Amino acid sequence: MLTRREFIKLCLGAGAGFSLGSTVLPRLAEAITALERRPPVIWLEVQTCTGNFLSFLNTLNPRLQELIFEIIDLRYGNTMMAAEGEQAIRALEDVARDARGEYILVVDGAVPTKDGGIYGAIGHHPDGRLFTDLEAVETLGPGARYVVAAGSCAAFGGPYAANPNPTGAKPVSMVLDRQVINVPGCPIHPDWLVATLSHLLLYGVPDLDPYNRPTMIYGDTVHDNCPRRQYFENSIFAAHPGDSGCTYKIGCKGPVTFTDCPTRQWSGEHLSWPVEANTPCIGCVAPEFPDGMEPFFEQLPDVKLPGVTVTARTAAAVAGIVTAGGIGAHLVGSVLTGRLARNWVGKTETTKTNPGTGPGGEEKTLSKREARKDASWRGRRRPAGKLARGKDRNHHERVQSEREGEKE
Amino acid sequence: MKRRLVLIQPLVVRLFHWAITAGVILLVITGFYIAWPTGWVPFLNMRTARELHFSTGFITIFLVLGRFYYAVATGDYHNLLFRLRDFRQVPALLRFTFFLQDRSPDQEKYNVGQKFLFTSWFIVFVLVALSGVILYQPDPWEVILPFVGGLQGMRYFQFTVALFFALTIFLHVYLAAIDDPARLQAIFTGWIRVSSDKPEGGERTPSK
Repeated sequence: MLTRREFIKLCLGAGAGFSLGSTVLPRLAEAITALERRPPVIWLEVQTCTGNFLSFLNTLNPRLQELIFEIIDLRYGNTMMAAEGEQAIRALEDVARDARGEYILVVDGAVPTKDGGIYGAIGHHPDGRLFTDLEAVETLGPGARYVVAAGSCAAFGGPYAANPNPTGAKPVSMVLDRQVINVPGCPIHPDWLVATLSHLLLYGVPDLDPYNRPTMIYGDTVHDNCPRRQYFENSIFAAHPGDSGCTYKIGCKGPVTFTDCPTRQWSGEHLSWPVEANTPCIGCVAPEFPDGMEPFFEQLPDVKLPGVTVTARTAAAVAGIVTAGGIGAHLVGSVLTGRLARNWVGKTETTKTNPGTGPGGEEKTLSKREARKDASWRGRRRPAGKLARGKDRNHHERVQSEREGEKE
Repeated sequence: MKRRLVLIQPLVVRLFHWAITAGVILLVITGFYIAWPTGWVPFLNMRTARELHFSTGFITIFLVLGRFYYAVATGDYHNLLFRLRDFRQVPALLRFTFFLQDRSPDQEKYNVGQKFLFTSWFIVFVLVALSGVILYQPDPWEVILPFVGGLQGMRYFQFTVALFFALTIFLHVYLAAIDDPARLQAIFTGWIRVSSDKPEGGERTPSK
């Protein structure tokens, strides 16, 4: 017999893993509503395009209204709040002081750290000083009960920290010296954040992978659960975006990306996702995103050398051509200097007999039959007339005598 | 002139050589197909390529382990391992390779270029085998993934190594063929035909 708690935990796992949100999440909302006090939440938007928050607004189960009025107590959110200016900053300072150790800090966006963090600010202090993103995260982080990095920018730096990273943008985990639960995505799926918040409220920190991502969401690769896996196995590939078939050849990063998009699906009502729309997964939840996942329509990252950036395919072709060219040039040199003739036409026997260390070194002289065959073979391969012309006919004997002369 | 035959490549070495050669070539071909699946490899689809790649990979790992054991147990590793003191012979080898001197530098069983290649192959193979195992089954290795660039980093490393092997195999075959065809014969037959009574490469007595 399952207890209520165990049932909810089971449903949470199932809801996260198998996209049963429409049936499970309302029950979760009820369970969370039963909590004595709604947990205060600060949604801090730092260096972000606001895409994560806009995606989060599309949550279905529970809906946004239920979420912010019945489940959590959203005290501060740059985009949502009615207050502005000094009033907004005061609200932030109030919750940081009054609910210290209770509030959940959700950071959306990367943190600009260059030049003291002046490239991103949430407002001004009452005394007129700039209230930078960096200062906000550093101030609010230590007092939070949980810190959640929502979106790839907050979790791993994302596009803001991509090369050349002019603002010195860093993920939240590199700014705060404490545990940060990463919920990446570009943008984040609303279920991912709701499921994480639900788990935090009901059971505490969920199981995390080495990147501090909840394994209930980021446990399997996209490739593992892709509905087009059969196309992949049978090498039925899309040649262009928009074609049906496996999108692997046009750069799908599903094999190296851990998330549940294929089973959860997107577009509000869980109707579709990138591969369903015939475009490859670009690996937006991966820590390497976007630099390590570019080009989006190529399998492998570009090869970056000082001053030169080429695709892996081009690099392979150039390396092959250079090697072939080098071997060809050496072959020509070997012909012109007579080395090839010496080694291949002149002889197939050597004076280098050292077998080195280890097994080997056994010697035998040619039997009469072998010697006859040997002589016959030599006679066919090296007619006397040609031998006489070759200046290297006695090369090895000459080299040997030279060396003996040197030794003397 | 008295002629003799000297065994420089015992049967075990030849068997390991050709088995590992076949394994690595198959790994390179299937690896490139997995990276860029195209129609240039007939009768191959992704499922077959991956099954071939993984099974050949594991077999080759055991072959390399076997060859490693053989090298250590018999002392053969002295012939294969590039050591710091070998750097002294590099200038002479380069002069010979680029036709600036006519005489090849004194060598033991292999010259320093070959030894450098063998040593680098072994090191790279160990690393690429580890990355291959991680890609084959990432779950047990998730703890180290952040330190090795994630799965995408592993995939990129595999590509680089495949390229390295593909190109250096050509180089190895070419240099072996051009420099001393008599020794090239030995990797097929084991024996080398010797025309001089006096060995050129030193007086070391081989251990049995």
